[in-house]
Amino acid sequence: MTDLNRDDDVLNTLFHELKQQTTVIPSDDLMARILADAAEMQPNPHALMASDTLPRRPLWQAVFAAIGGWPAVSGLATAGIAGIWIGVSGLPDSVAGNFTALLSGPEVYLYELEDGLSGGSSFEIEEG
Amino acid sequence: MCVHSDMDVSDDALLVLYANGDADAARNLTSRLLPRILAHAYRILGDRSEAEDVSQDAMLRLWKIAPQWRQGEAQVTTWLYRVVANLCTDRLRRRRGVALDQIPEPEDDAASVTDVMQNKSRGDALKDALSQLPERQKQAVLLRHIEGLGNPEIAEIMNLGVEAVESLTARGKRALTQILATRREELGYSDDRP
Repeated sequence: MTDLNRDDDVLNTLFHELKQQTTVIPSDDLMARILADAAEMQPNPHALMASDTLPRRPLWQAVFAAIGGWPAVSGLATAGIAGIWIGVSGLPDSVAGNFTALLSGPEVYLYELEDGLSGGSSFEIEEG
Repeated sequence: MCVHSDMDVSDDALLVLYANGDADAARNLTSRLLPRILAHAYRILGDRSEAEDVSQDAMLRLWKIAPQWRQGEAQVTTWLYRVVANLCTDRLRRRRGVALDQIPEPEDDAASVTDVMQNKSRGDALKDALSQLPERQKQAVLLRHIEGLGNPEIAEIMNLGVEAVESLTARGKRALTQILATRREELGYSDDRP
């Protein structure tokens, strides 16, 4: 055990001496080369600052972009128009006809209202 | 004066500052880390010029990885020691076959001539002994007993388990003791031995 301790002591002393002996002070030239590398590799601070200070987009532009931009909006519009057409073409003829008439001309019809607006009288307005 | 020149700013915080464009962070990091990795490379390679090349290469890799560095996930020193270890291993493999006595001696201007001779003799003895160890054992012993790192950190650097590191350093020390036993008298350690 004593021998082992002594061996350890000897080794530790030698390690210490070797450490002292092989301490290396970096030369100015090496420092300069490394700092030149660092400057070359460093992300451009001006570019970083510029990206930080870019104006923020308005909310509508953000939403517009989030749903996919023009392609998505044109798709939505097409789907909407198709939905209206399908809905109108599926109605009974009379309703569809009236609806078409409403959409197609300046004429406005107000048909007889059974319990009218004033004193139960019925009226009819026709404009053309 | 630079706020982050204080030593209590962590290495990885400085690295993040560097990646964010801070001009002083690179200088502070280099002043902190370069002496350690340069000395370590020198101890492994025994050649100052090669150790400088390895250190510059390792630092260059650090600058490159800086933008992707995730603070708190790893220690910069551990990462750097690992890079240095790999670069040194590559160089040692390339120069296999070169006689060990061609490796230049370290310079020491500060000590007296007598001290230099005595220390050099002991240092040479240990260097010779270290050079006879298998490469992984030598690296583990240097990291543990010269760099003073803990076994978990060495395990991370060498990509090993902690137990494997303990085994490597223990076997390395035993081998060094056996090698140096033949030079005990020469080194002045045998006079009071029973």
